Amino acid sequence: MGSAKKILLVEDEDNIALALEFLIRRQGFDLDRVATGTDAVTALERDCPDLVLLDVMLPGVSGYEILQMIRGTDRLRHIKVLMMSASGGEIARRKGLAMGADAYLTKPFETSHLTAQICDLLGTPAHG
Amino acid sequence: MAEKRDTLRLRFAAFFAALAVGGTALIAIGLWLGWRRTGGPAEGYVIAGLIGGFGLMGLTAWIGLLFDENVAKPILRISADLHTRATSAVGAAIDPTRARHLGSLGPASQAIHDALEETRTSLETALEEKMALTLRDKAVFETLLRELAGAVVVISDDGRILLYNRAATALLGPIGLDRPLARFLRMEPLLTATADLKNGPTAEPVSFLTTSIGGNLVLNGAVSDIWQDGERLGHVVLFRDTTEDLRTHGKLDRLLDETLEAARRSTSAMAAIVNVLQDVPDIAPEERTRFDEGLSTELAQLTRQIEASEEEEKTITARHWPLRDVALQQIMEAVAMRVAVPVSLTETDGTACCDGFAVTEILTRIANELGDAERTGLGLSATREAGDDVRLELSWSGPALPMAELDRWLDERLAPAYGEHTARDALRAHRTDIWVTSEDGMSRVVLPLPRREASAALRSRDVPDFYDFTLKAPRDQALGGQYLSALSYVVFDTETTGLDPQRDEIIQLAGARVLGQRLLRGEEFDQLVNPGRPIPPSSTEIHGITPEMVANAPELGSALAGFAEFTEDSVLVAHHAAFDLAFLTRAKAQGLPAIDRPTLCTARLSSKLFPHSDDHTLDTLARRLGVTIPEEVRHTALGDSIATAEVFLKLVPLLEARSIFTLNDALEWQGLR
Repeated sequence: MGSAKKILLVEDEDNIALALEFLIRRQGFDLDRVATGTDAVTALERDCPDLVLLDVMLPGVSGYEILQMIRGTDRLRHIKVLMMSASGGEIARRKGLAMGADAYLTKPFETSHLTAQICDLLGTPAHG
Repeated sequence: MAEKRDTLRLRFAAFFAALAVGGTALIAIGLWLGWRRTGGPAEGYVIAGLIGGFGLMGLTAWIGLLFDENVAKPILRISADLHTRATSAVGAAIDPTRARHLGSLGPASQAIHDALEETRTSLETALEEKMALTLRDKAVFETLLRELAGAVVVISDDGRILLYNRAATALLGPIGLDRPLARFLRMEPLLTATADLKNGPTAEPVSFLTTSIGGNLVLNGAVSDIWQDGERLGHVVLFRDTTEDLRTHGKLDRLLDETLEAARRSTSAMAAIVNVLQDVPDIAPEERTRFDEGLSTELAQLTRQIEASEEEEKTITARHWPLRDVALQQIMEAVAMRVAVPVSLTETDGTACCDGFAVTEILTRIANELGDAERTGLGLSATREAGDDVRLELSWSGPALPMAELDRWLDERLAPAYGEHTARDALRAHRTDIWVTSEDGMSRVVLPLPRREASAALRSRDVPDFYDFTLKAPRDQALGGQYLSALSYVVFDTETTGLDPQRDEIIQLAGARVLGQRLLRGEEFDQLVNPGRPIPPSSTEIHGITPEMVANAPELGSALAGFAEFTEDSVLVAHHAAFDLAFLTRAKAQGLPAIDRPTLCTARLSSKLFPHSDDHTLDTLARRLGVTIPEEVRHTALGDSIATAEVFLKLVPLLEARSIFTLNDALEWQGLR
């Protein structure tokens, strides 16, 4: 498991995080979870994951600010970012993608769809 | 003046008559003296005298007529032309064929015209230059007021409207300058609030609650006084439609109730299923499948409900914010004007449906926030994207604007005129968002404006004239005694099925408002009428109105009711007014709404002002007075009304030059009351 891809989950909603952590680990990824934007910034300063699964609405620093930081920092720019938001609508999706997200999912979503997107972005085959 | 001209022709006639009589008398005297000296039969002298006398009189009369036609009348026409140009700005050159027998008088008149025109033009240019700065401030003020989401009306002390904006029209209906506000609004609460205002320019506004005249709108207002040099000029009244607020709140409350109820239903079902699964670990596999399906169904239902609620919320809030088509170039220029550093604009045409003021405010604020030495080359562009969305883009070289900073001030109040609303509220009402991108050293703020329909009440093909502060003198005398240059007019025209007022019918009725000395753009009446009978193709050829066009138009009674309201308190003006009035008189006799207003006729006024011309058609009169009528609007009721209005405005100074100052003077002079 030493070569497992690293994912940082930034999600303040504990129960959603619970399910997502379970599903992502089941796919064989190495996962860290933080619950606030500020913790996410700290985690990104310390580590460089392969993918960030990023909620938009977070306490403190917003998901868009974290995305701006990732895309504006040379060391982090290559990280894949999958944004998730409960604010629906085409314009929110356009905003996320325009600011540099690789994919955007509107909550609620099918968990199988989420894991497929993660595997697709990281170029790994999906497991069951 | 006309009398003086007639005197001139009479003098010429008297001169030629005197020449004839004098010559004849001299012939008679000569013959008599010859007969006395030489004698002989008198018959020969009489015959010679008769031939000489009649011959001389005939010759003098013939030369006199030629003189009248080729000298006297052209002198009078040139005199009329010069007089017209002296009292009214007419750009058209003097017709040179009129003076072909007058030697250098024609070129001399043209030289006077040219010199006058040049003086006028240089005076106007000098004035324009002096006023450029004032005009810029005026443009900002006009845009601000016009696009302001709140309704603003300024009234004089006697309750007449001196200023209004689009939002006021959207709220109160067809209000117009100089019309009494009391026709659109219940005035008592406003008057009570006015009485509560403390004297002096620093008094705080007083709030009041009133309704529209029809009672269908509840309006929340605030009134304050306008003071200048210790004198109260009138009141500024701000309105907000509380009806719409109440309606929106009601709809949002209902939507919230429905959403919560559906969410409770689904979550209860899911909770029950989850409880069973937790409490009964050894549940049979086929039972477990049914429970799993139940969970999936409830989840799908909840998701659908959330999506449906979101869609409905969009339609409720979209109606709440006043949106209309605004020229993109206008937004960009307004931003550039208010930003401290130079902004290069990428020229664009086209419009976006938005609250132009709010969009301008948002972009201006961002641009001013960028005031940083590291950020240079500020540019603003608007591009149309697929699906007709418009993308406004503010770009610069240098570091991106941090999202945290953008988010912070998006949550601040947009502008004082928007009350508690923030920039984010405005974005939400436009169903849009704003974001920052950065690539290869270039940073951008992107604001997409989704395609949408303008609020119906705010759609307008023209920017109306919406203020006139010269109207402050109260009307304290009867209409007939008022000055022509201060009256309110409706210049109107009708299109009909034919030329017989007793048998034919009106098929279009239009009018344009003239207030004092200007034509009010945007305050127009234009109504097709279903005549209830066929329109002859020969008449369609003239005005272009086909039976299909009027098939769904209202009947004459309903059109006249609207026109009666539009013409209230106004003097009517028409070209060949007798023709149009004959149709209106017949309608009145049939029991339809009466249009009983004093009426001036531009054709009659023209025949009095230019008695030596035989041609008083609208086209000729317009040409004579330098008014251009675009061919595409000629013979449409509204186009002809506007052309007649412009002609009428040029006639008023000519009337005043003949000491015809009041309405009564003009009615008496034209001979149609």
